[in-house]
Amino acid sequence: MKRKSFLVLSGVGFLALSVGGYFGLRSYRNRRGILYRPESLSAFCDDTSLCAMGKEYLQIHPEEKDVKTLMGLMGASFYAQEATIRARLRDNIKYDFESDRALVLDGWVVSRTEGRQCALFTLMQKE
Amino acid sequence: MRSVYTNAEGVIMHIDARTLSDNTIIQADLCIVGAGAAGIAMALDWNNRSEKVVLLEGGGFEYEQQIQEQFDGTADGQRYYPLMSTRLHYFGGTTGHWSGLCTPFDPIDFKTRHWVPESGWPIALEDLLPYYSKANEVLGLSPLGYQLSAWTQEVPNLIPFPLDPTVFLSKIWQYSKARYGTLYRDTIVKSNNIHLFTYANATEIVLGQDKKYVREISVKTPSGKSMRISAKRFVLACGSIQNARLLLASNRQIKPGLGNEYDRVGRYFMEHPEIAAGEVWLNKSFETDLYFRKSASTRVSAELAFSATAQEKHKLLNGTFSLFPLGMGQFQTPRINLWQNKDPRKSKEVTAADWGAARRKSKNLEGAIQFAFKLNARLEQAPNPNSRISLGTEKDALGVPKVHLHWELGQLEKDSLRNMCLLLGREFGKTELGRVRLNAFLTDPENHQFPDYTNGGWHHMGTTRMHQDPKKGVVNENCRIHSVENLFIAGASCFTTGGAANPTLTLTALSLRLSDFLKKQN
Repeated sequence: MKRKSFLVLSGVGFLALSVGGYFGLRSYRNRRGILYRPESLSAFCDDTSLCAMGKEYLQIHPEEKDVKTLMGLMGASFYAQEATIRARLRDNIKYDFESDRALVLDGWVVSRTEGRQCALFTLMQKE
Repeated sequence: MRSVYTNAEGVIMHIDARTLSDNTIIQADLCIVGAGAAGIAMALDWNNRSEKVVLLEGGGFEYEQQIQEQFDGTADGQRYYPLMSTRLHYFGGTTGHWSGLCTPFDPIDFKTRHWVPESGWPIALEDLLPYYSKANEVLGLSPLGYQLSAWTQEVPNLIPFPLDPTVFLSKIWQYSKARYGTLYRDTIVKSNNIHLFTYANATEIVLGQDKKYVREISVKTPSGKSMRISAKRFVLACGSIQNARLLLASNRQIKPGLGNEYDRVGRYFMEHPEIAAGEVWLNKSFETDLYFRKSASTRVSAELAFSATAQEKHKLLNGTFSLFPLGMGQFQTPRINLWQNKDPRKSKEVTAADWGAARRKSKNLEGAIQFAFKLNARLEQAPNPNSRISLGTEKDALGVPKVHLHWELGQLEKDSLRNMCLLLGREFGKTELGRVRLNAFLTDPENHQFPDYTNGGWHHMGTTRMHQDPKKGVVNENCRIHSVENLFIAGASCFTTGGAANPTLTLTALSLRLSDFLKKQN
């Protein structure tokens, strides 16, 4: 009986960890995706274009050429809630456009935040 | 074809000049040279009056290659269409194939702008307003005018993008269907006082002994027969290229040409550079009919324009953006690459075929491109004395020197266009409407060249510009040549600056203002 209970509990525990891990990983990937894929631009641009924009951004701002720096400048964290990340990015992008913090990357008129997202996208592709 | 038309009293009112004897002399109160948009508008304004008006047209009532060849010439500088293909040489002039876009100039267009060298007309928009109303009638346009609010009842769903109104405006256009060659032919040839001479090409303006008055205009038929027109007053209404050409070619009595004492005739040639500046991608569908031609009392649409405040703040020339579905627009060839046959009819065919092919290729496109638009810019060209018409070395069949065009665009045009795109891009980002993408030629702010696929709007302006100072302009505020008491210019060649609006409505208004001035002088 004890052995049976042990097996059941182990099975449930394993399942819980696997499911939790799966969803945790998926959520982490989603959060990463939100950060390095500019929401609006992604509707119009494929990965190659985003990468080209990211490279152009990093040429203009070589001092931002690592993930940690970019994340810090964006005030972002992979561990925040998805909704929080989205809201913060949206606010930052709007603020950028309102305060003339826009730039031209591969022809697109984008916000500084979107430029950083593209840069992050480029760096993540290399990892 | 009939060569003679008579009015109700049996008086001959249309004469085919080819049927006249050599060296015929015609006398008139007013002689209008050129039966195009400006000349016909003026002639109509003198209809049924006591004065005898002679209206000279170099061609007949239909397109003829031999006649059209008189418009041939050479060009350098910014790439341009073959000159012969850019105007039509018969009764009705270029209204014979125009697209009919009409909107008035903006108040700022007439003002001196510190960031636009040599800007500032000697007249203001208010001086033209009464004549814009009359011009609207001549062009068969709706009296509803050019304010968006006036059209919203007649055309539902004219909803503008929610852009900052202190920066962006909706510039309303009406589309005229007027083809003067058919619309006004009967009125002119049946008039009691307008005498139309076809196949009568003005070849020289001859001054009297004091060189302050025009004595007569020499005219030749295509076969070289001569006639002379003597009148109290003369109006050149041949279009900006021909007006300058005729003044420059009339150089036997005054060496640099008539009105050209200060080397201003032919200079300040202006066009409207028209080019696909970029793309607008909307985040989602935006339901509006505002930016696309909608049928109402006339067809109407709007373009995105920039407020006077924004133009001043950002040092912009005037300009507008029209939107065209990118699905089809991406397959269109720039017009200037298509319109390269000297025969305008053939160039038109090539252009239509390209558009047809683009339409077919764009069928069944899906995805975000359905909400994307080609951003077509129409830009004011800054006055530039180096952009000019001069006489070439070759002569046409009548012995008149052909023209040479040097079209020159500069840094202000390029910077303005780039900044207009950036302003729109920021605004679309700010309002979360979507994103704007600049075309490659605009991405480098240090590159001030326009690519060779930059189109012109076939809008020729500015070669006899209006200025109070004879050293800075050719005509005064009443469109009279400074140095000649009875010689006037009608048309867009008098424009001091070219605005962003197609010129026909304004050149018609300006011609009607001149007409009024001449009547009051009587």
